[in-house]
Amino acid sequence: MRGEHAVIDRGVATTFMGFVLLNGVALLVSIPMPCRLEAYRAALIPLHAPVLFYVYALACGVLGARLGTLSAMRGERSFAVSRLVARIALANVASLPLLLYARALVPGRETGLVLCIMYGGVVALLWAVAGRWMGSGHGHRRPAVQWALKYGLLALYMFLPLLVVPIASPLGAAPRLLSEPTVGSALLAFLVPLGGLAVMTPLLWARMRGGRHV
Amino acid sequence: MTHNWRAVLAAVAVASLSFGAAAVQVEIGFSDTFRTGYYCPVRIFLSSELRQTATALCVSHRTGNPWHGEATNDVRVPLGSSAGQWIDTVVPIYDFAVPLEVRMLDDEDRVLDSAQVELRAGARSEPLIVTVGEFPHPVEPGAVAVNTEALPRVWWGYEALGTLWIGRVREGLPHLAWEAISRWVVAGGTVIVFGGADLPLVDSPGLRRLLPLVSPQLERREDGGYAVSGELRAGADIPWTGADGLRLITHTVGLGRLYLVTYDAASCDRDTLQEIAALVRAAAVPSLLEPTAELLLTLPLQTPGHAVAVGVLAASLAVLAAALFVVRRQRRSVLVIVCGALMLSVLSGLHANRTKQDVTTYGLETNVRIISSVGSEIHCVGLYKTVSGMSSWTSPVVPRIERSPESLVARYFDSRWTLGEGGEVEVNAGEDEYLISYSAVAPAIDVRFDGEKGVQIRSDLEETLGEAYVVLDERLYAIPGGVRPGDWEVSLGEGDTLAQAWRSGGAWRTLRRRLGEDIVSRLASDRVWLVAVRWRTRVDLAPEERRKVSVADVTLVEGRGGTL
Repeated sequence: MRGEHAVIDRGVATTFMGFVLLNGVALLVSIPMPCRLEAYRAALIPLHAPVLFYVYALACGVLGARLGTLSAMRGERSFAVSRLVARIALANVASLPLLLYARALVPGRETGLVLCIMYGGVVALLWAVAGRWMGSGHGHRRPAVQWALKYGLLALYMFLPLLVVPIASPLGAAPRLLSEPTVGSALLAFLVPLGGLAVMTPLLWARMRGGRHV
Repeated sequence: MTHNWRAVLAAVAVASLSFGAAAVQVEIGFSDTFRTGYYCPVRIFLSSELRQTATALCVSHRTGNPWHGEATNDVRVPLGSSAGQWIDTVVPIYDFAVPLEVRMLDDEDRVLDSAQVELRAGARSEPLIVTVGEFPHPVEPGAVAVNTEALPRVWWGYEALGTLWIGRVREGLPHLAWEAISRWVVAGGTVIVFGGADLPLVDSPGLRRLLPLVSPQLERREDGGYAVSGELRAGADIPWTGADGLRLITHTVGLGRLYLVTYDAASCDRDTLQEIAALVRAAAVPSLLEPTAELLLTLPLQTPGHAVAVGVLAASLAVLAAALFVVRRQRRSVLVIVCGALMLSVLSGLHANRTKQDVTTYGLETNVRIISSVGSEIHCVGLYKTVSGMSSWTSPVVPRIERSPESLVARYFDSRWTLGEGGEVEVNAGEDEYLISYSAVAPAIDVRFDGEKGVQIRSDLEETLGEAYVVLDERLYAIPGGVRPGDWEVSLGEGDTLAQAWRSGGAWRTLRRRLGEDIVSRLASDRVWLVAVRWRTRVDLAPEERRKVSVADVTLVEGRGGTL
């Protein structure tokens, strides 16, 4: 496991740090300042869930895309997807203390919290696979173009469905899973990233078997 | 067997309907007149077939409109086996645009029958003037005459009234109606009773306690009629005397007022009635809405600690930094992350226990118990939710819901209540909502002013009310140790004026803010008042609604034994 195909290296650990820091800052923002209800009401932004869970959903996408890019840059071929799964799992374990502390913000919604973390993992994996696929197939493009394309698509995935089917976007699905985790809504929420994975994973394997990588 | 029997009766009920028999009749308000936004009496008549099969009825009232948001306010009234064919209940009515619907339900909540009542014609926005019994002329324009059977049996049924005039009631008033009227007067109501030959018809122990005369007697007048006379009670006043010797006598009872016209109603001409109507002070049951609304938003927000969150974040980053430190040893770095993060997760999970979790509902509850010859209680709960959802409350009386601020963009949301149990109301995050209800209480505390000796207090309560004051001649005397159970005497020392007590801050200022100016100004009368309060905080950490309610139980006892 040592060497260029390690699960953890400095690049991956730094990415984890960014992920944890982002979630930590979001947690701090989510906790209302000690004040009177009057001041709280004046500053109230009507959200379905604390800010942390919106940021977490977004951060999972970014985490996945970044890990996929790292994997592509290193030319990981054997067990590439397994390694991505392990890294995403580790990143979520690293941020688990923050998510568990956030339980105090959403009392009585433990099921929703678990679903939310699982959903975040699936979204991260989808974007890790997509990032790996994009990184390995467009070597002829400039890195800046690749970056813009990848994060542009991620932004579209995050924000565009909010206008049409909010639950198809992680920003719509995460608060929904947290507050109203019915079987139907949970299935619908998971269907989009799982469907994406079902499409992207064979494409990635096909590309890697074809021997085209950076 | 029971189900078969019920099924047969249900079939009979439906069959009787199909032949055109009116199985349900609904009467609302005072002769169909009611005041929007207040409690309203509802009388429902059930056919004998329906009465046997129905186990509950549901009074359903829709408010709002499709543009600003609609809500359904359902009140379920269980029908006990002892209930007759007439069911009397009192429910709040908020709007007149949509008819009120009454549904009869069987034991499986199937609708057996329903009736609708059009509300638009009877809706009023001003306090109602209601007369009972015979009057030779209308007492005031717009006055509503009702028969004795239609009088509410609970005192909050009179909430919408400005004045209640009791003339010649040949059959007398039902005992329960008298009791309810007495409680309404103690809570701030206004009743005008006629003397002469009318008084013996309505005479009762309940009325005797309210009259401004100690021992009323009938005297023959020169014109052959009768007039009431007797010794005035302490504090009674005669604000008007007619040319023919007719007198209007009045005195305060609790927070309300009773007027006695010494002649019978038939002896009063139109001008006399108008003169009396102009002198009468309209009922004013004190409202706790304003002080509750003012104080609700000053409650402190309870949240998890920022410092601990910073600590959790720093520790999580430290775990990753440690993993970076041993990154060359792959297995160790994974182990550091997994073990470190799991250990931190356990600690942060344990720290974020029930006591640290967010409170989602904040409440400010004020219960004011007014005790005179009878006792009445006013409840007001201010609610603020940080997360939208239903808020459930146990309350024997269906509360009246007030929202603040009322505006054209105000939204209305559902409420469901079961009489005698409680129910739930929908509250949106960031909006404050108020539940107002009333109840009857036993006069458990007695206060007698003995001049220089001080004040004698007798409390039948089991607990001590920790903070208490005597209000006398606009001065405030604190009672050290509060009101404890049993008989005891308090000698009044040097008191402060009410203004001084307010300026000096302290406990009285807090209590006064909670009660509001309306109630406090009424205590500054010529009577002796005992004011006692018990403060408490009720915390309910149910998973579905985490609630913290600051409660003030205030007891106001009107003293006996003389005035200054």
